[in-house]
Amino acid sequence: MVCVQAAAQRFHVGVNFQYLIVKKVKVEADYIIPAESYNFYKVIDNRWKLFSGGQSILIGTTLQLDYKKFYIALEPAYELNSYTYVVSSPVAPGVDEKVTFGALMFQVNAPLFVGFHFKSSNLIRYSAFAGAGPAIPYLFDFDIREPDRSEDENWQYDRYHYRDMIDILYSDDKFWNAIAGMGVNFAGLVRVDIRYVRRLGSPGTLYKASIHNIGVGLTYYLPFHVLKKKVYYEE
Amino acid sequence: MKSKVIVWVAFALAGCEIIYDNDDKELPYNSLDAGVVLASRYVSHSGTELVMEADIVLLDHYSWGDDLPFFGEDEFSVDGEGGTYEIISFLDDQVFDRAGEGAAVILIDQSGNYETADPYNYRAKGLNKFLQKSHPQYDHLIGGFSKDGALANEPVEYHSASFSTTWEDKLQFLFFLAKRTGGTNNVYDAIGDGLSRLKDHPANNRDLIVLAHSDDEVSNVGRQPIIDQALADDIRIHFITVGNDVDARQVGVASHTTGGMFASCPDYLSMVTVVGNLRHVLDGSPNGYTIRVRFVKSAGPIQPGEAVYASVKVTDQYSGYEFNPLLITVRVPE
Repeated sequence: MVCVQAAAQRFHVGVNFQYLIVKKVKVEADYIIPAESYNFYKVIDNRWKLFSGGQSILIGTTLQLDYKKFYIALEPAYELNSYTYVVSSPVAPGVDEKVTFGALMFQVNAPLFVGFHFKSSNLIRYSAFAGAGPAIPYLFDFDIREPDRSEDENWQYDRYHYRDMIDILYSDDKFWNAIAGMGVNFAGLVRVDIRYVRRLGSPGTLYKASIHNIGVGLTYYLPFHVLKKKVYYEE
Repeated sequence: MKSKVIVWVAFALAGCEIIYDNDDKELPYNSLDAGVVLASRYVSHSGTELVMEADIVLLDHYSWGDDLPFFGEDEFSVDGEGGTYEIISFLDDQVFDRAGEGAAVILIDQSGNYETADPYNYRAKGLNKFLQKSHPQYDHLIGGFSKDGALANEPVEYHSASFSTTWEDKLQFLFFLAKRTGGTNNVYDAIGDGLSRLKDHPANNRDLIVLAHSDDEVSNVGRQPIIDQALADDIRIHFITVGNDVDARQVGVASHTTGGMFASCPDYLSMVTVVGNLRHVLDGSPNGYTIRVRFVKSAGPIQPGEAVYASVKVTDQYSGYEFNPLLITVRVPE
């Protein structure tokens, strides 16, 4: 309790790193009819995947204001966001050809979230937080993911259309993310958290789709308050 | 400093893909130009000499491409059996108007397997384009045929009991036919069933489209009764064959006698171009060639009722690409 009171109305600035490695891309349909080709896909991949569903790496700044047991934080961050989605196409008895579509985005995020310290000790504070924020994507690459076999006539790139998931799994429209997680703060200097990030709304208009991410965040708070105290005691 | 920031931002965004609107839907890039014979006509005969005429359209394999109506006469050659063949008249850039609302029964050969003829289900992609391009003018009924195979009904399992102009609801049935192959070919029984369903349809243009990769094996009816029935009911039978296991002459006659189109495709790469352009070929204004061929029989006079076949070969003089063989079939009047 002493620790919390000491941190009341304190402003922190930090550097934030995030690595989201568990992803789920879900299309709420049994089949996908793409807008720009005459292909037809069966939905088979609406599940959580570790690493293979894509990854997100974020680096940004944390601006945090503590007030008693609560805090509010703004985390403007630059994100390298990738995700993949596998569909299948029937080609023969007992044979469904799997086609993996992927997207790579550069993305600017600015989530604002509110946290609550529900347990504290002199050194460690546990908190839960939730919020939302806008994301501005720049779609760097979207394609069919397969080994480069450009000399092979069976190259999937030539048989399916690389734009088939446009307006389904990705677009260049701005969107909102929701965020929730739990964190552990060590001595007011470092916070480690586990966070869930979900894109709000569908990426496209053709089908209702959702994108979910789970990963870890690491925030280093710049030790201004420690330096200040040190100066105070010296005086 | 300001200019450095601009340079860095420009560099960061330089690789970004812009999602532009693309109104054209596309078939697989991996496909080939292909030709179809829209019609074969008997012109005249005397003694050992016969003259026949054909309307031919060469199709560009790009989804957004047009027809290819300006190949030169020297890029066409004609060949056949039982005598000598010669092109005696060549007209390019001919427009074949075939417009009009219509109805179509589409029959897909489900016998045996497609392992070599169409290993990637291109037929479904091509027919998907036909269904979409035909909407809403064309009434469709789509089905697969085989005997003792994996279908629920014989001689044909249709998607539904009645014609409709919609296409989305047919795609699951169409694409998943690829997983239900097997049994033997009963194409003439299937055509007979299709003709009976088209017979009472009120549309002016009634087309029966057959996509086959093998010859008939077990039909209860023969080819000629089917042709007679189609002629009596004013229904055109169009044959598209894929692979090398079909006797093109047999099915070519059924097509051309009933006024239908015929395309013999050695592989799925040219087949998808033909199937994908069906709407344009059957119900548009395709742009192609009218050629007249003289056949001089080497042994004996031309007989009434005799069937004569000529194979036209088209080779692009610039790329060296050889189109699928274009079969002209005529029957000498009785």
